[in-house]
Amino acid sequence: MATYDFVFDALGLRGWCGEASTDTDAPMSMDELLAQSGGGGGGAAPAVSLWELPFPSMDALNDACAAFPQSRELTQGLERGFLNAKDAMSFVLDPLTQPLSWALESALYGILTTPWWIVIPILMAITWFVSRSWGLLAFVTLSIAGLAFIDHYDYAMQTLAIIFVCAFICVLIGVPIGIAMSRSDSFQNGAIPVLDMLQTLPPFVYLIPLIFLFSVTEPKLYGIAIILYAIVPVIRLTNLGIRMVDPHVMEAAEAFGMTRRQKLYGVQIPLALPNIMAGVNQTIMMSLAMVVIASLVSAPGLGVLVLRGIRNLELGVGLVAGLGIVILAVILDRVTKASLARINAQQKS
Amino acid sequence: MRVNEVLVPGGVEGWWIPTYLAEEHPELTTLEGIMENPDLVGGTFNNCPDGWGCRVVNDNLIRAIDLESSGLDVFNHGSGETLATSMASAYENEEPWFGYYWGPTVPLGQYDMTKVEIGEVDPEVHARNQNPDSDNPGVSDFPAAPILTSVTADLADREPQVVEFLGKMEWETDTMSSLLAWMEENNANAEETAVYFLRNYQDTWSGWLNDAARENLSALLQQG
Amino acid sequence: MKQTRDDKRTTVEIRHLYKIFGDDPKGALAHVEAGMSKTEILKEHNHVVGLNDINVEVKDGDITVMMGLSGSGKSTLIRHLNRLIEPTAGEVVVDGDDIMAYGDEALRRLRREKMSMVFQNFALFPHRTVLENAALALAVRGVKRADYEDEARRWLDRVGLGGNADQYPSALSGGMQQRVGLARALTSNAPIMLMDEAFSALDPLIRTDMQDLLLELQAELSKTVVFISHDLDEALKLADHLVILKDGYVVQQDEPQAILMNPGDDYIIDFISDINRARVLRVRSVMRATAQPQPNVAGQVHPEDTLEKVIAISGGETGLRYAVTDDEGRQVGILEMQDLVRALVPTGASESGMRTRASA
Repeated sequence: MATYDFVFDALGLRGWCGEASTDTDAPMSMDELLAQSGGGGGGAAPAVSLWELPFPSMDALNDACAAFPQSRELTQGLERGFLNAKDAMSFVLDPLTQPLSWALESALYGILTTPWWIVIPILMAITWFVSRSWGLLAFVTLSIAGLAFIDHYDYAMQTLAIIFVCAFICVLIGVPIGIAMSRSDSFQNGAIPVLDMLQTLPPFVYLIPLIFLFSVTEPKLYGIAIILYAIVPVIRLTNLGIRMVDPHVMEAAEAFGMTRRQKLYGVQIPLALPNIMAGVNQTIMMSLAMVVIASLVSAPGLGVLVLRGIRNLELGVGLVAGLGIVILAVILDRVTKASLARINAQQKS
Repeated sequence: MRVNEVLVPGGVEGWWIPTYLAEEHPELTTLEGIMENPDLVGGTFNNCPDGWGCRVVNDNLIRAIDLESSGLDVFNHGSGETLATSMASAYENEEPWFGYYWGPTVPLGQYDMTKVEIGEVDPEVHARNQNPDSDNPGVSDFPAAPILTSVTADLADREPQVVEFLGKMEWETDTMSSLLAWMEENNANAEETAVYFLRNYQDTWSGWLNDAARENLSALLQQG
Repeated sequence: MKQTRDDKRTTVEIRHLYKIFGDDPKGALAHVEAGMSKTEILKEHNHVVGLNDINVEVKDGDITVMMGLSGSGKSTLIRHLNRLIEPTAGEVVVDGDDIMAYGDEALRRLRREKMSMVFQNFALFPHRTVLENAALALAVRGVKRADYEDEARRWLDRVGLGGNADQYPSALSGGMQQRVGLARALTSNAPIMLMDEAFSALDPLIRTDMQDLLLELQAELSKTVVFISHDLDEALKLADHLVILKDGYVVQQDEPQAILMNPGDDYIIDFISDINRARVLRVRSVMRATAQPQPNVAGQVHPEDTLEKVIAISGGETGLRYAVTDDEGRQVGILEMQDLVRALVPTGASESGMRTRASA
């Protein structure tokens, strides 16, 4: 009846296949229904021209042999496997990621309960400390004041707090991974596909399973989403930066009897710092890009406003919140670039 | 151009708990019962995402009944996906869950949920609750939402027979839910579900068709 | 009497050192030991012979220059002395210890305390000041800045960079950077200094300055210096002992004057054919050693004077004869100007040297 009958006949597996079930509850497609009635129950397979030959996929093989699994059973199997393993995974991953929830909760709590007239000067001080530029300081101050003036202060600060925590954790985890990659070619070869995957896998594909593992009210859900996506550049650029350290300088370090530790902290990290900082800059930008998606898993901040704007077709709300994200992006970009420029100037001068 | 209300009685929305929870603690099927035992439902109300119509109503209801005074946290979901997943996840683990959902949907068809009684349906109060800046939100359960079949005037001119069919087409929300549940259980696609419907719900669809068409379709199914 | 080579203590001894690059160096080693040539090994076994049975004794307080053209293996060789490169076979003995047996910790101690190194491309740390660079060896040992600062400044002053201590290396010219490199090696107070083409990247005039500085420092400090060079003039100027490498093996090693007067083979003859012999050869290599006073001496010259200087003194007169007297004024030999002139002509054998043959 089906194109690939001959495969099972030739292999002598017809008996294993068994008879096609006639249960009316079994899923049946419209084509099958029409074929059943149109063919009048006849056994002759309709001649299939080479042009229309179906790929021997799981479903096509299932047509010929009922015992052969359909492709939907693959996805179902995955789902069942995950549900069976979730308790064990949750047991390991839940406590491991708990600090992320605490960090996010306390950062959000801290930045919102501290009065604005303390938070804004602190942000100004940080800007001044890393950039030493009056122009940038004025720009940052005006931008934040502007956001506060249009009553977006709380949302912007929530977003900022989330970004700070996530970027910090990215650096905390990403730099050591980058260093490990720079030291081992085989680790590098193994890690690069994983990094590629992290940047291309749609976040919801792993976020929904994570809800099964953790409580949905945990802030770490969106923390993980942001970190997995944004950690990639800092890893890549740390690896690159350390690999690009002048081999002659490394040889000199070796020749003067530096230990691995001395080489790492005294030579490799300082010389890779411009690259690492460029990675941090990219990481912050990418975490900002995830703000809206993070809001889909209940992250507070400007992303919520963007979503509200989209859902209610309140174009103004969406536009203003979107612009707020852009302003935060420009601030963070300029401030990290300014500190990067200062590091570069120090090494070159 | 409105043709018919396709679902009887219509879409249901409301606040739900899993049926296994309701069976264990029958007192939880009323709002008072929940507010007296917030821990039994997990201490959290799963609210709609921002930007949804139900969010406004829920927020007003929460204000009106002062839900948070009972010790329940209101968790605002970021998206319908996480709302559904939180329900599914709780259900898989047989954990308590309390929150908003609506039907007919795959999750409500798949998971056996029990509606929590909020109170009488008062259309006037409900209308007030739909205003985000409402000064005096009241307590009213969700009325059934009409789900309509509509066509353009253009189609009515061109295909009067089809529109006539659509005018007769209506089914019960429970049927819809059980179809969605069957679909989820068998991992079937929409087309396969349609076939399943044709083969198992003759009584429902036979009234939609004129005599000639009904016989055609019956004959076709008989042969299979 | 001047101390002869045999009287000096051997600080570093290289014994039967082999280095073969490739997938299976040990396997290829067997072929090398069986006498297969470098080209054959490369062609048939795809391995590169870097060093082939090197035996050199480095004497205490000497400048030992290893010279050869590029590809001769000289840079590979010097990196075996502090094990920046591991040999395929052989031993390097430093002060009686085979350093190939050293573990990580002993090796680090050797590099920190016994051997310092100066590199062709300076290899300074761009993120540290000149002072911090100079003090590297001390900082690596864990000495605090307050304690190493004086020592580092002293050596920076000594190499003429007293005023640049707080600058970053990139602010300095190449010559100045290499002075920092030299100060870095000196501040470590290691008795052995490895210099890998230390002056090759510098302009000729600056290079001469640096060579003079090295000789000056050496007269003062008597370090054991291993110096790599591809420049014969530099090698002859600096070397107490000259090792000439070609294709990874030692062609000839001796005191430079001896190599000039008695080149070992055609390769060496060709090698030395272009140098200014008058500037390099010294009176002691040409004189007839005798304590017997001779009549008609035109004056006195020192055994370490170059022939060039004697020619200048003589005004080009070839019939003269000079008494050669040492620092105490004792006569150690007689220099006939005729011998001097004869010595200026490169050894006859070079007529049949490779270069002549190649161009014929």
